[in-house]
Amino acid sequence: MDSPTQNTSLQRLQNVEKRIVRVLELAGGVMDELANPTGPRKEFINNHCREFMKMIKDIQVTLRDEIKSACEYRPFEKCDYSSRISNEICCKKLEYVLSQLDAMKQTIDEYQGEDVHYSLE
Amino acid sequence: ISLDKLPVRALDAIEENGVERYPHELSYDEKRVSLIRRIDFAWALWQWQSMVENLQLAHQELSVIIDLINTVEANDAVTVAGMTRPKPLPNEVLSDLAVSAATKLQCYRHLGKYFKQSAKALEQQIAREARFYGALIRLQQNWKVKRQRSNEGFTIDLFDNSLYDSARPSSLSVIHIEHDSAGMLAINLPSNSCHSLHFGFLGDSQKESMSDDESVKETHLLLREVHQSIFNDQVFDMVNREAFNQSAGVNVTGIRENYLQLSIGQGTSLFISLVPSSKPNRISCEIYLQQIVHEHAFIKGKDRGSGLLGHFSLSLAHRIFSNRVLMKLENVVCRVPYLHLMTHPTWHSRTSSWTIFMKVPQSILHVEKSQFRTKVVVNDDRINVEGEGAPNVVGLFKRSSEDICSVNKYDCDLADLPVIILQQVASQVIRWLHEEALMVGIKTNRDFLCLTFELEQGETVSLVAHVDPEDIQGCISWWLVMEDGEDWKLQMDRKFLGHLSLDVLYSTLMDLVSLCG
Repeated sequence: MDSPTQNTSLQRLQNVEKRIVRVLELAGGVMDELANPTGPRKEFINNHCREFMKMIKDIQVTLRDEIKSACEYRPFEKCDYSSRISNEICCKKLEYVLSQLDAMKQTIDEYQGEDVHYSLE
Repeated sequence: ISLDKLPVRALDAIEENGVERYPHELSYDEKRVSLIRRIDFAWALWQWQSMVENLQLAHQELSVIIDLINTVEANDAVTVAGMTRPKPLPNEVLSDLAVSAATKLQCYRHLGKYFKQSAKALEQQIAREARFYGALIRLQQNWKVKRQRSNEGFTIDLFDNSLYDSARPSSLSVIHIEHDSAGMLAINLPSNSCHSLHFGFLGDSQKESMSDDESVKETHLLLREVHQSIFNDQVFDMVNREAFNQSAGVNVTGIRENYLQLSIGQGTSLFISLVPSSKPNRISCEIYLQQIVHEHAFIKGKDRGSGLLGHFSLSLAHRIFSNRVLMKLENVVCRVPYLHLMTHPTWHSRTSSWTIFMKVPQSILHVEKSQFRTKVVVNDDRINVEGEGAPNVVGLFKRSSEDICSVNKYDCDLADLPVIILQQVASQVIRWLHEEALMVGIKTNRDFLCLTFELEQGETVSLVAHVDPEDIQGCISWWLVMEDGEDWKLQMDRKFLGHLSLDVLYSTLMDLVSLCG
């Protein structure tokens, strides 16, 4: 099953996709084994089929959970476009203040540079 | 011995007149056919004939069967009761089994290959889509991603219909999400859509060097730009709508595409435009306009009226005016070393406030009061000056903060402001000197800008302040004036002391005190 690190919905669904690929590979392996001219090995087929069924079950459980939780999701309930604009305005204010502070610092540096200049003379 | 054959040809006939008739010369094909005719096909003919007979018999049987089938098909009254296959021979059974087994094995092999190929293709598709959906989900955390019903594509909707109910959705509001050549998420914007875009468009050449993370951040940045640009469009729309309303207090003096020119108050002209290059000194106005539009967007209904633009233009007028006030104050303060200027935030867009501090040297008794304040407050374009006087001595001994200071308060206009400030400061200096003299027991007469000491025989000596805002060396200068009280018409001597610091003034005071004493 999913390890605790795969906690986002997208990751779980991507895992399902990987399992589907694995399931296809198992089916292919079983077919190849059945096509064996000397006859299929029973152990091989059993292992593959067991893993196949387990994967299918995992896929089914995960998909069921995800579909349930997807239905609970109401889109655009908390649209934050307005606060986004507020934040953009705040950013611009900060940039402006920073530019003012930089100009002040430059002025201070110039004054201190002048002091040094005069003291040398 | 070899003998050449004579080139003798057989004669066919000879006529009476001696003309020889030769037989007709055969062509190559004719010769061949005649040779073939001479071969004996008897043995083959018999087998051929038996095969032909067999086929004819089979043909007859098939015709009968077809006839029968057609009759059964056409005639509903007759149906097939049953059919039996002839019992297969053992070798037929075995060969059938072998064929079906071989077919089955081949089917399995095909299936196996098909499944494995599908697995590989699916794996590659999953990897491509994982990049796309991973990016899409990151963007979905910040933006409204919508699925299109028609073509299974996605769009991002940048329009916020909860706030700006009077605005129409901009043509920029719907951004189509596309795939680039590598299958990764990409958005493309038409070239002249955004007024304030600074970045270029997503192109393949840029993509090669960008990781998925950078690509998503770049897309996110673009969406922010477009989102802000839509808002800027709405701000500009609002200004346009209200500018033509007479009660807004502004006049429209010029219109161009994405450009509006306004005049506010007395002779202040400004423009609002949607071009990307915004002059730096207008940035704060731009920000403020954006802010008030955004704040007022929460007010529903029509009762906004023309309040926004009027308020904005008054704020702008105040800003311009207060900058001029500040310039005058700075000019004064930087020329008088014992003055300090402090700006106070008012958190109100139409009020500005400053305080000018004068620090006096500490003397023995005045432990609490060491500075005088002059407050300047500007509301819209009205200046109010509030000056603190000298401390009340009695109040000082009582150590109560009330009744300590007398305050002068008056309005003034911009042109007079420097003189007013300087006079206020100079009078504060005079008051301070007056107090210091009192401290050492000498009574002096205080006039507005003049401190007078009485000497013997009616002579007076005065310390007189002179203010001049245009004086580059210092706005406040001092004169010593000596008057002979008895004969004041004749004896008046004045000595220019210069632009004295407060310490020097104090020591000058003490000198005068010792003169009196």
